[in-house]
Amino acid sequence: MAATMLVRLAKQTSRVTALALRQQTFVASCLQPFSSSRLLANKVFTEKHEWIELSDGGNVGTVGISDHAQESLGEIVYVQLPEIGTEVEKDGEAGCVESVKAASDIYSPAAGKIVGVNEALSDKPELINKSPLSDGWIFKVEVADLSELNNLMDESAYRKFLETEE
Amino acid sequence: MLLRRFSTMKLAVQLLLRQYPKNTVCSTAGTELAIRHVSASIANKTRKVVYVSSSQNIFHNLALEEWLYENLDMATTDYLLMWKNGPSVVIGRHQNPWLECNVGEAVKRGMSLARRSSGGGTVYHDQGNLNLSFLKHRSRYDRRKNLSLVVAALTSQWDLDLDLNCRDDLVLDGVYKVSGTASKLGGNRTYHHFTLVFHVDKDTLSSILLCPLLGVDSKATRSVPSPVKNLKEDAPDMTFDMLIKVIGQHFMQEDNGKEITTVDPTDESQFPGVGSIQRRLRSWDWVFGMTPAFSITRIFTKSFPQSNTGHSHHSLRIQLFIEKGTVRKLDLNLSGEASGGASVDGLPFRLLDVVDIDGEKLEARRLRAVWERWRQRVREMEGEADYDLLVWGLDCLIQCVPVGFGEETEK
Repeated sequence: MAATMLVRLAKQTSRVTALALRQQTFVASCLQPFSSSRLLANKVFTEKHEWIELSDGGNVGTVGISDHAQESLGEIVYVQLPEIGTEVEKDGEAGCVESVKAASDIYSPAAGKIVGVNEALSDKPELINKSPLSDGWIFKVEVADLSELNNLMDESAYRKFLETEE
Repeated sequence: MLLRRFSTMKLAVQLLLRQYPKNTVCSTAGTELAIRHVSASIANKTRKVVYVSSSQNIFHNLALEEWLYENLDMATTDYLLMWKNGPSVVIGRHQNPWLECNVGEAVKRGMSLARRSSGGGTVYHDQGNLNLSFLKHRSRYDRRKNLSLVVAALTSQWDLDLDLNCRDDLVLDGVYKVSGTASKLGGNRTYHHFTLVFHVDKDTLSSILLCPLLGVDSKATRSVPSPVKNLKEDAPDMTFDMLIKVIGQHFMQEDNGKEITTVDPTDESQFPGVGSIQRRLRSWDWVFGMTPAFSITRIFTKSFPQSNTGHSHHSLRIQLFIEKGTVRKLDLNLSGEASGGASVDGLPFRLLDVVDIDGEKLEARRLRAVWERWRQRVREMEGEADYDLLVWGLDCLIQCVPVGFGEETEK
């Protein structure tokens, strides 16, 4: 009787341990930082160092600045976000960031309507420095003409462009 | 003495400061290669142009600078614009004017209050302050080079202990700030501008940059006071004309010393569209409406004698939320202990019935009309039990509201 109970207890323990292990693995995989390739896969870049990434199958693009851009700007202390609802032109001004006493304009990679802004930047402008390709996104634009994105650079082309710039 | 400078950030490495493309040196180069190199460098030589503004109006001069920034061909030419202004307070692009200076006092003294398009902190200007703006292509944007040029120019003429610190400020005698830097970058266009304090009214400077507003919570970039000394204290013969001459000549040295050109920043034939830039810079929408969102929280307390016995003590908490210079929300909260007498629990509601400030622009003329409307409503309640309390509550509220001055009241 006692032996049966022990066996049952052992089985339960191992089941619990297995579950815990599975959970741990799951948590660990969630915590893993996005690999840069995964972040960059669907992004295209402009010569002014902005990136844009379209939502799956949609025409809303999320826009931010490249890692190179945030590094050249230095510590960002204020982000002036564009207003939701405003129409922007391709390469038109859509916000401004301030760093090291310099105000730098942000440009929209495509023409369209601003449909979202990253409000978190109001309190934490440094998100652009810490995570330019993810949490530090700046605005979302409903792209009027998707073909405008055709001439933008993918990651490897952008890297080559940076080399020629320096 | 206080010259405000921007300093909420750490000293970040300024990777923006790009150097001139390095000349490739080839040790095996023969004469032919050397000749080619020389002719290439002549072809690539950057032209230098110096403008001095004939106006002392801050809005004229900032509009001219903006016009030049938007319209000049910077591919192969560098420009230096110099000017001086009448008494004015100039805040950085992302600053809160009510936090950076005494807005009411500035207007009372007939000063101009302007917001720049560049970053950085607040400065006070008068005729004893030279403004320099270096407008260049992004590939030649180099703040330290510009500042070093000014140090070289000044020390060539005067015996000054002038240095450049790691925050791109010019420092006199090791401690006194004589120049505050700011810049603007857009695509391939840039300007880097800074002030040079040579004979500024230091008493006015320090008094006008004090903020009288209490209880403010803001994310706007802040200035921090720095000790200031006039260059003239170390170089008594220094004048504005001498400064523009020596700095202008140094700037043009690489381009075989041409003439300094005096320009009129209101001349539409030379600068078409400059007038509309000026009107935008003067407008309430730009100077006050561009203020980053902020809130004001204040608590007032007061005792009122009661008709039958003793006193009642009250504490009124007022909270204003302001976006784009416009009131978005007003919260009132009253707590009190009454020893006898009428209950005053309803005061916040009664007061909120009287005040209607949501959506109101903080512009002087509009607010004067608002105050009048409120006071009229309160007067109509005279004789009611909590009339005194209402009058007090209204007075507290009016004290909390910052006032901005639009172009209608611009002097």
